[in-house]
Amino acid sequence: MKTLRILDSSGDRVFSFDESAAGLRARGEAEALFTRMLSHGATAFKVNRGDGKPDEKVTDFSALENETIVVPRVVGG
Amino acid sequence: MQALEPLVRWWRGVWRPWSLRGERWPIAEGGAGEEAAANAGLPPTDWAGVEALSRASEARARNLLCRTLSASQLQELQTHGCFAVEAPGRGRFYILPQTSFNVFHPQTGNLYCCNTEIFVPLSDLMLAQKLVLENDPDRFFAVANCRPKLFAGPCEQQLRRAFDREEERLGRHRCV
Repeated sequence: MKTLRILDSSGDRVFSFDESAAGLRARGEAEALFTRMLSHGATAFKVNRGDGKPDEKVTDFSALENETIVVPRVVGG
Repeated sequence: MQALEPLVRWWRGVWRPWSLRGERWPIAEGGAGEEAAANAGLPPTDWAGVEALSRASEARARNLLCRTLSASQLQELQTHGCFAVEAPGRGRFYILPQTSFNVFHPQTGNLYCCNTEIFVPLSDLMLAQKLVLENDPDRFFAVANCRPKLFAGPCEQQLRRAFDREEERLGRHRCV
């Protein structure tokens, strides 16, 4: 099961999906959201990867691992 | 006044969390009955509920931040309330628990301000800054505003003095 966390005012919104046939719809929704967020300037990072692997920026939905955090577009404050 | 009435009606229908319960707007022409009917459309402002939601969001964000930090960063956060990140090719930065100009570069004394486009709880902001600084520093520095040491406020000056003291202490130990 993979988890996509999108940071927002409530903390984060969580989308869980897997590669099974039953989870196809959830996966499609998550992919559409992921693509839309990134096209609007958001950045996604693979986190909590285990085995001491560092966090990593990701741009390809198929490369997502167990947990991914999507940071909305950053702007100068 | 008659001409402004549609605008006032629209304003009454807008959700304004800062508005007071039972807020009334004077419309001379409308009469008391019409005014009461228009005010009935206002959503009740539940300050306790708003605050509880805000606290819940921050708690959720804090939990995610604590799960995502490395062991040393988590220890720093629990001890000092801030934590250090290494930006590749840029050096070490401290992320402080405030919403603006909270990324501190101790080598230069500069403070950087980079927020998310939408509002997120403070812990989520710190997490976003950590992730972007560690993994995509060019994006961070492309948009961040920088406040040089010269314009530091009292909090930053206090922080810098603490860093200076720490460096001085370490320097003395090195000499010995």
